[in-house]
Amino acid sequence: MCSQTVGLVQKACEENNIICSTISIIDEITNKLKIKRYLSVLNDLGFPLGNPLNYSEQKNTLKKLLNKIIN
Amino acid sequence: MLKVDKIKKLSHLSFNVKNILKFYPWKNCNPQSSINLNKKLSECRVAIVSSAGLIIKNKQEPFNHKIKFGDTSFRVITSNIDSSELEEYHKSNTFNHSGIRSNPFSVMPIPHLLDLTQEKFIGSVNKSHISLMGSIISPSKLVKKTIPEIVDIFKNDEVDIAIFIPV
Repeated sequence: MCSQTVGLVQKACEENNIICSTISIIDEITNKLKIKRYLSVLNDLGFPLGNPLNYSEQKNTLKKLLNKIIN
Repeated sequence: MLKVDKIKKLSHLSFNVKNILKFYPWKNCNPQSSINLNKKLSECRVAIVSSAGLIIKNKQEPFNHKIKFGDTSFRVITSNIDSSELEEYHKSNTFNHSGIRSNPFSVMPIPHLLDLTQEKFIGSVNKSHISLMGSIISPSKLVKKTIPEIVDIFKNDEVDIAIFIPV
């Protein structure tokens, strides 16, 4: 349900000219929700940006998430 | 219908939860309109929306786990927060909470964005970010009341980009 909750916020933001990008942990749900822009990650539920103690991994994932907007 | 049994990352869920996910009427989150980015990332102001149920300890009310179809309220987390001030109140038992509890910034990556500002990868980090608790089964109040308030905050702050971190 987390994906739907943020997906609905994303929809409203996009419709108000705020550009959005979302982490997708379960792509099958992301696709059901028809999320406009997302970064698919291999991480498990609860660990959206990867290892919670690996700062560089998290930051690298964020850069990829932001790059989705320009690619 | 969601083919839950074929999704490895959901294999740990109970039969009942899988059935709910399988037959749940997922909402269409595709925007009816949107724009393309008309400036460089390095000129954009970025805000975070996380569904991890984070609150500021001793300053904000915990999310309410007793609301039947989910707590649709939100908390504003400011960019100057320290991780020790954040506490998780997500009610879901469908995921491992240890990562969030060991490092709340792993789901509300404010320091990471501040670093990306220093590196001129993005323009700036918004002063406010949004924390929700994602277990919202019936989202009508979320759509009618909560989301317009969140959009207003971002518009008033002149946010260009919002990044979303579901857990």
